[in-house]
Amino acid sequence: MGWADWIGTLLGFVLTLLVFSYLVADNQLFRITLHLFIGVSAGFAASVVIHNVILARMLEPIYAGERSEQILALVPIILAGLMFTKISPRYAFIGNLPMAYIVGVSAAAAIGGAVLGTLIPQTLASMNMFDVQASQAFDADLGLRLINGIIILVGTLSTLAYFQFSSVSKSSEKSQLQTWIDGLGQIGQVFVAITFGFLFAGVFSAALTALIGRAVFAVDFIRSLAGLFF
Amino acid sequence: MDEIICPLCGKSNPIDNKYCDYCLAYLKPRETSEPVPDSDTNRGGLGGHSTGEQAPSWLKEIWGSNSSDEETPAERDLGLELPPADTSDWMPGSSAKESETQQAGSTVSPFLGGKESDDSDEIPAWLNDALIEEGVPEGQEAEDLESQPQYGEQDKASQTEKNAVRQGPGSLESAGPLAGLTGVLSAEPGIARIRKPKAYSTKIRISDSQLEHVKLLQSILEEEGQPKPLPEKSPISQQHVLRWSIALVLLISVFWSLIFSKGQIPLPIYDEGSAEVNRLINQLPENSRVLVGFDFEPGLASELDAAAYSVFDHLVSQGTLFTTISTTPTGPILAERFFQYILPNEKLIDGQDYVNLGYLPGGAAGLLNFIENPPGMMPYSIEGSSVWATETSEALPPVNGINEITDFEMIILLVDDPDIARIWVEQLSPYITDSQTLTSLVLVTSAQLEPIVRPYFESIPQSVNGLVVGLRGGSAYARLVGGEQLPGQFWDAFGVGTFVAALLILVGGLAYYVVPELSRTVRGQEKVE
Amino acid sequence: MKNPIYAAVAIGVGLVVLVGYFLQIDLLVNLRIILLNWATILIAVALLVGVVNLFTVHWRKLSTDQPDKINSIALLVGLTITLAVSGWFGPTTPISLWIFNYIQIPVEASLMALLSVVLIYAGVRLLRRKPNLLTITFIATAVVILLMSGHLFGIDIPGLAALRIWIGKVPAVAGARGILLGVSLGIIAAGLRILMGADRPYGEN
Repeated sequence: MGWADWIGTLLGFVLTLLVFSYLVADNQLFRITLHLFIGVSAGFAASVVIHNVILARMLEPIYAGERSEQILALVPIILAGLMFTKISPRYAFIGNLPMAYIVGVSAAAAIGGAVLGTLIPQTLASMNMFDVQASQAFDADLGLRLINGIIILVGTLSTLAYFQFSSVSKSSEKSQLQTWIDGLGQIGQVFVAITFGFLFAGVFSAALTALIGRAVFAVDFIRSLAGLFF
Repeated sequence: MDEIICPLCGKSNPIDNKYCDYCLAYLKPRETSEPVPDSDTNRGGLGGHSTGEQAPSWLKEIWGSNSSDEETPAERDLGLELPPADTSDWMPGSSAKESETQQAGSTVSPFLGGKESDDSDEIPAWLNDALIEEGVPEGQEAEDLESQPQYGEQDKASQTEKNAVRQGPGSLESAGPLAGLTGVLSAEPGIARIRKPKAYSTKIRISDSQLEHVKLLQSILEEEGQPKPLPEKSPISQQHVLRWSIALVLLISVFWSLIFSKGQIPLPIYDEGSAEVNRLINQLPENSRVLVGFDFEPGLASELDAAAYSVFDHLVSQGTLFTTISTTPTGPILAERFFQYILPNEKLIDGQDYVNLGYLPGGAAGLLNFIENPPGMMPYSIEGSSVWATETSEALPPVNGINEITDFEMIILLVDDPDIARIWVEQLSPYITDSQTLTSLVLVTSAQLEPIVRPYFESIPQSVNGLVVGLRGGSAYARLVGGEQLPGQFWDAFGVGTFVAALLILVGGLAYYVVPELSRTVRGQEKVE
Repeated sequence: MKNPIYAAVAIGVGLVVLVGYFLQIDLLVNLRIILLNWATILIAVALLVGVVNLFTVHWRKLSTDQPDKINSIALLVGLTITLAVSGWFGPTTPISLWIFNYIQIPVEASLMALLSVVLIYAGVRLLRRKPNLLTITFIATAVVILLMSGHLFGIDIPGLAALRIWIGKVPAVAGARGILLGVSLGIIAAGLRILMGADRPYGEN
């Protein structure tokens, strides 16, 4: 390891200890480390945006592009300039135009993706569980697959019912449909609990791997130090 | 300064005033030098009096005995000085003579009767007796007078004596605006007499119990405004001890495993998703072009590095060329780090074996734009060099021949965020599920994403063709193809850590629930006993 | 006051992008590419605006007498140095990678590692806070998945591995599919409200 790596490893070790000091109690050194991290992250984000977008895609067409490209490139430059007014509370309203543009495009892209990427494929998937021909291509045990398909279908519908939020009925008595949906929602809670339990285990696994990564780093650093002195 | 009280309005006036400054009433009885004319029509007052044979004998006697007096009969009766004649000029035969004399001292209210204290005349006994017979007893008059405001300096005793005389019917008014008139009805003492208004107590009459309640309410309201002192918290609570214990147990188990039992436990055998990825990679031609999305946070770099290491090791062994792109700002740096530091043995060359296109902003919109027009959306690499084919230069090998997204043989996404994974799958799904397309989509994800992305993998047709989930998936892949160095470092400690966590949650959770319940039950039983 | 121009812009560009998903007309495709290109540039600029705002907020804090000024100093020093170094040399050069490897990754990975302690702590306390069937289901699922995610010291408990696979493929998939469908329906509803002008989340008062 070169001296730069040594200093870096020592710095990383110290920062790791400072963050772990939060386990004992919240302290000022932990907060300083946190703020340093936020500053570094923001610095990298700004640097990447400037290199990859501002210089390469916004300004480059102006000085190296054709006439049509130059004219087209003026529009995002003007809109970007308007967006910077969002920093000032007094002139923030000027930045509403580029914000409206972004919101409109993002909403449309989200709708298209949701319809074509999730709604239709997942609905088809729930139905195709009962497609005998397709099932045979995937799994020899057709009966088990059909049973699983029923459980998945019931689970999907009951989970959707559980997350259904409807307005309060004016009449004191619930309609029969509402009663059915409520009952289905009760079943959906069980599936949601299982899914969230699975998620909980997954998040812990990810966090544990991060902890092991830090432990590996610390052990390697201490071993390197020991190797230096002994 | 001496003052005189107006007999009509009761306001104070200087002693020298003849008329009241407020209501213009005469302040003192009028003095006349001449006796009241002895005339039938001029007996003062309205209505007059019958004279001569018509007047009662006692009245005649009065007139006769007092004719030499300066006072009019009315004045004599009342012991007052009548106001000057101008008050009765409109009265025919008015006997009132103007008198400018104002006696020192105060006058008595014309409605009361009574002489001044310094009046040397004594009330005749017969008059006194008559008054006593007809009017208010002396004592009561005296009491009424005592409750009146003072009329200047006067002897109370003589005043009382004078006030024993009451004005009888037919007598001449000697003071006030009706001076000189006879037959004036006397005002009710209660109304006419100027007296101090009765002082009513402003104190609420409340009982003792009501007073107690008021004090209680007041103390409650006062307490509301005062901040209550917080109960002192001990610096080390049960929660702190529990948290420290958990941290200690977990850290000890992980470090113990890392130091003493590295690589002793074999990697997992089979994982369906990893097996599928293996099959797909094996089907790739030589020098295939793979698009890699680095979309995870630096915090989970350990997990994703361990999960993806064997996959990339396998791909590199196939001569694969990589094009990296990221929808997060730190993604390009992670990609560079992965190829330069995580796969150092592979010695991949930037621009030849891989090209880093950099940051793709815009989320779903940016991804959509890139999918439809890769060269137009990302014309340069992160270093600023041109990567696509131009008129003067060829495209770099990783992107050579790439015009559409489906020109890539495989798309691999390294991701830890469910929203980013969903956006990638949604935007790519129409192309991946197209039967004409040979491009496959492989996800190398963090373990926390497994439930979210598995529906895409389990669906028919598949939106995701292969899935490597977390350290377990990467370890299983490593066992399939080799390249166990990185996952192997983590696997032992990972197994110990997950076992300890499961044990802590199960046993600790039960104990945390059961022990307080038991102690509560025991305490309840003790109380009952 | 609501300005109809903003809504008109949002709806107009949104409709062009949305219709392009379903209709493949050349003019529409080209216009769509241009609009998307501009949108991605503006989104990147919005990120830059956020960084500038972060800088100005903490810079202003320095001129006040707040006790936590040292935190703002740390943030500004980190931001300035990182931006200067990676901006000048490049974000993927070795010197930038040094800052990334020895400052950002250690801190962020350590924060993630802390989460493991917090999650166990929360799991231990969960049953006491909400002792009901759903909590038991949640904890039981988490425990089974955790046990079978690791190696269990090489011990093979019959059925437990198959149970883990079945949980991951059937009930968890069912719940996740329901959640995904619900999320997509919500996105469609929210997006359509924007494209119809019913919602205007672009800073109008």
